[in-house]
Formats: sequence, C-alpha cells, structure tokens
Amino acid sequence: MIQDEKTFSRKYIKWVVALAVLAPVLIIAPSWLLQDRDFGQWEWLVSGSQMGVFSAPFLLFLAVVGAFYFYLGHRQSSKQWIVLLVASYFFYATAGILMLLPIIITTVVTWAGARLIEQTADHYKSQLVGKEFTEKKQIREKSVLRRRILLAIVIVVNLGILVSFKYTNFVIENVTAVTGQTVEAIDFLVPLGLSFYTFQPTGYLIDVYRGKYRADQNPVRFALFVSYFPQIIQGPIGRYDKLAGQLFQIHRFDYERVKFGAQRMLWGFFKKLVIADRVSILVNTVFADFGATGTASYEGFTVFLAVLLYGVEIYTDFSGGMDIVIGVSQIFGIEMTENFRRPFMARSVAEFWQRWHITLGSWMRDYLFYPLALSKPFNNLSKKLRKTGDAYVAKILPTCIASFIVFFLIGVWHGANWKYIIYGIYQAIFVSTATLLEPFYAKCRAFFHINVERSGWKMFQTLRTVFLITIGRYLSRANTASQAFAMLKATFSRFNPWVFFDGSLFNLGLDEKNFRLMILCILFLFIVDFIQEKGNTKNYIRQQIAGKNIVVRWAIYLVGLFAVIIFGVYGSGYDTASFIYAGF
Amino acid sequence: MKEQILQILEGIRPDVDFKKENALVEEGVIDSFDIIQIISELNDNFDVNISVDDLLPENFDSADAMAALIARLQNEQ
Repeated sequence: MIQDEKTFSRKYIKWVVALAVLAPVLIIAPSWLLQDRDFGQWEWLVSGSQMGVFSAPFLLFLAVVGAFYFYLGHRQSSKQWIVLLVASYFFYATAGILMLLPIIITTVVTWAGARLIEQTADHYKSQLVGKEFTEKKQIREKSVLRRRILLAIVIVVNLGILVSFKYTNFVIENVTAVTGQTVEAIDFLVPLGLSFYTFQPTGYLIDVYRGKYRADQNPVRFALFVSYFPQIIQGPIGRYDKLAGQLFQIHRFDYERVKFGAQRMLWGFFKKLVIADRVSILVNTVFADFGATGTASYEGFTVFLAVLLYGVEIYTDFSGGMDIVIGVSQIFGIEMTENFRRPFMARSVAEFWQRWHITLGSWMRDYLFYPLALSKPFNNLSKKLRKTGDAYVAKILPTCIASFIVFFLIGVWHGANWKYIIYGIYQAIFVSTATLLEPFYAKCRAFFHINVERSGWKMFQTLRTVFLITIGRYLSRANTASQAFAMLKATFSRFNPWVFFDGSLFNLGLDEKNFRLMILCILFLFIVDFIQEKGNTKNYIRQQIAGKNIVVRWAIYLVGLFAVIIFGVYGSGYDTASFIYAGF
Repeated sequence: MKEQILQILEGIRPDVDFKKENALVEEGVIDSFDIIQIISELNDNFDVNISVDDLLPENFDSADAMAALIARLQNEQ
C-alpha cells in the first residue's frame, strides 16, 4: 500500500513539475512570436481600448445591461445572470478578443480541478464506512495526497500564467545586467486585471479542497464568478460563498437600492475625478522632475508633500474605483466585500494594511499566511526555540517569519521591480516586528509614563503611521529604487518650511485656485471618513442624508453631481480611464 | 475543557472577555497572530492537530466553538 502511494506520488509530481515548466513556455512563446507583428485588419483581435469606467460608453453600456437585466428580473427569469456573463465577456473583450484566452483557461482549469478534487474526496469518504482505524487512516492519507496533487496542478497553471506575464521581463533584465548578454525584453500584451482575477478562482479552489463548500457543477455559471465585469479589473477579490449565490439569484429593480448604488458611484467619481486626477498633476510634476535628469529642483517639504499627496491620490484613485464597483453591483443587487476601511485612521502599520486593500490582505491571510504559520517546518521551529530560548520569542517568531514572507510577496505582487521588493521588505519589517518587540515597546511606554488611552497618544500613533507609510510611498511611486532614494535624500537634506507660505507650492502644476480646491476637497474627504469611523455603521452618512427632507436631500445630491462635472479634471491627453491599481 | 480553553485564551489576550464574545473572528476581535497562538496552545494542551482546513470562522468565534472543534478532532484521532 505504502509503496503504491510512493510510486503514485512520484509519477504525479513529475507531471506537476513538467506542467510548471511547460505552462510559462506555452504562454510566453505566443506572446514573443506575436510582438511587433502587424496584424492589419485583424488588429482588433489583440488590442483595443479597454472601456474605462469613467467614459460615456461605459455609462451607456451600463444602461443597456441594466435594461436587459431588470427586464429579466421583472419576468422572474432564472437566466438573469446570463446577462451579466455576456456583459462581462463583452466588457473584457473590448481590450482585445484574444485577451479572453487566459481568463477562459483559468476558468476551465479551476472549474474542472475543483470538481475532480471533490470527486476524489467523495470517493475515498465512501470507502471509509465500516473500516478499521488503521485502514481509515490509510484511506485518508491516500485521499489527501491525491487531492493535493490536483490542487498543485491547478495552482501551477493559474499562478504560472500570472508569473510568466508579470515576471519574465524582470528575469530577462537581471540576467542581462548580470551576464552582460543582451536579451531583448518581450513586449507582452498583459491581460487586464490578471493580478486580480487569478486570486478569486484560486481561493475558490483551495476552499473546495479544504471542504468549506461544494464545487460548482456548472462551468458557465462558474465563468461568471471568475469574470463578473465590475470587479474584474481591480477587485475587490471576492469569495465564492459570499458572491456566487448573489450572482445567480433573481434581482428585481429596487428603487432604494439603485439610488444607494448610484450615490456610491457618484462618491467614487468625486474621489477619482475631482481629487485623484487633480492631485496627480502635482505629484507627477515633482516625480517627473526627479525621473528626468537626476538633478532635481525640488527639495525638503516640497518633495515630502508631493509624496504625502501621492498617498492621497492612490487612496482616492483605488477606493474611488471600489466605490464605483460596489455601487454598480449594488444597483444589480449584488453586495460586494468592502476593500477599504479608512486606512488613514490606522494607528499602526499593521493596522493600516488591515484597512487597505482588505480583500487582498484577507486572501493572503487565509491562503498563504495560515498554511505557512501552521505548517510542519514552522511548528518544528517553534518547538526548537522553546527548548533553547525565550518563551515569548519561541511563540511569536515563526508567526512573524510567516507574516514577513506574506508582506514580501505582496510587495512583489505589485510588480516585478527591485523597488517593490524593497517596498515589501520595508512594510514587512514593521508588521512582523511590532508583535515581536511588543514587550520592549511596553517597557518603553512605561518608562516614559505614556498613557495609551490618552487621545494625544492616539493622535501621535496615527501621525506616525501616516509618516511611515509615506516613506514607503517613495518606493511605490518612483520609477526605480535609486530615484526613490534620491528623493528621500532631497527630502531630508533640506529644512524649508517657508515653501508653505511663499507660494512656491502653486508652481507645481496646480495654480493657487486649484491647489486650494484640492486641499478643501481632501479635507472634506477626511471629514467624511472621520464621521464614518465614528458612526461605524454601513451607509451611515447616506442614511443620515436619506433622513432629511426632500429639498435638502436633493440639494446635497445635486451639489455632489455638479461638483464632479465642474471640478472634475478632464485635461486633454489625460487618460481618466486608467486606474493605478489596474496596472498591477 | 471549556475552563481550560478560557484560561488559554485569557493568557493570550487578557483584554478580551472570552466568556461573552461569540463573534471573535467574524467581528475581528482577534487577529491572525492571535489565532496562530491560540491554535498552537490548543494543539499542545489537548494533544490535537488543528489544521488549516479547520480554520473556519465558525470554529473560532467563541470558546464553545473551539471546545466543539477539539472534541470533534479528539474523536477522529
């Protein structure tokens, strides 16, 4: 029996390894062959302009989809979800029809893999009945082994696609740098949202493997779960047990819900068009200055302010996009997981990441951090440490190492570049040492007689967190790590508080009027965040507004709408369609 | 068993009232670092092997839920 298992696993491990090597080759080869080709009249197959969610075509598209969707909802048709599937594939195909290929591969492989895993589990479970203890154990082991191999195959395919598209050029660049041999980088047509839609089905697969829920029987339904259009470009990364049921339910037109959804979208438009796109002008001016010549004219507080504002830009850009995704879904009657919880109110770096891009963090926690921290090697490490050293360190250190690995990988997930590797390590250091050094920090606080319940201390913690996160942002925004370090040097080698008073901040691409408007809007945003933090209930502010009389209510909505129309930034050549996170 | 679990939990997070809380994971009262610590203590004290597959919120939302999980695992082994 045991011998059997060994040959079985050896045979299959060979297959997994072969697949791991083959999958990237299969993906890279066509991309390499197709690059720089003139497709003539077939150009539309490989490229197109992805319909941006801030464009008029998108709103029109939404209206058409909504009309079909609610018509079928009105007729109580159980096929209502097919409207969403067709819409999703259409939406995605606007970036080039061939772009659908990787997503279809992921869908089919994951669906089939989950079914096979489940069938394997069922098969061995049925054999358990009436068996002796030792026999049961053997059957269980056999079942686990076979399911693990299936799981590994599918993960290798899914992540293989992701890794080959994202990291091939990074490998090429570094090989070139080390060996001096010139290998040309491949001009990839990277599928949009690849970094996001890979995670959702992979999470589903692992859940089925863990027996959390049953696998989906229907591949077409499953295709909608993978491709649901509002979220496909930049998340939020959904969970099958929360999302799938809602996608396939019948949703009738509900005025209240549609109104709330539209308001949420409006708030997203405000964040993106009025704040993010305005702030980006200033941010780009300062960063471009460092990127171009190396001898930059900005220094001290000017640079720091630009990076701080970049933090605001990426927050309003990403969370504004989420507002639109969640708003559109709300209109359709589908409740999405929130991706942000007022990150700037965090009191530690670890807490910041619990409030920022929540669905990626929780995905990493459930499918990477827990398996790592509970794995045998980590367990053994903990036991070894307990024998030799400090009990607290023994208990905490393996967990800290696991969290370090996770944060490192999140950094690398952003893109293949040394700056992201440093960025990941930078964040990882704060998060993983916070718990490890807590006894030391507690002693320090006691020494300085710090009362942790005082609001002054809490305020200090919040500002400290914003500062540490901002330092990290130098790396995430600069083109290269060395540009980031040059900017850090420029920031701290000069103390120039007068820039706040002498008007030099109005020469960074935004004139005085626009600069003041930007500050005003950011203040407004943080007041809203603050009220939500205190209110601490979902839709708190919208419910407050809904409680006012009709005149006040509509005055507020119209002011919001006109604010977006009038103050939105639609400069020529400025591409409002692009989100920062869509590029990851 | 429940008393012993409560003792373990209070050792890890003295600031939480584990007798009352019944949505520890769901409401984010305990975080992932706490959960790993809790699991390693429970594994040692009750001689069970809580694996990743058991890491569902409903197994860790309260001391009772954890007791039920341990009882189930002890039966299986």
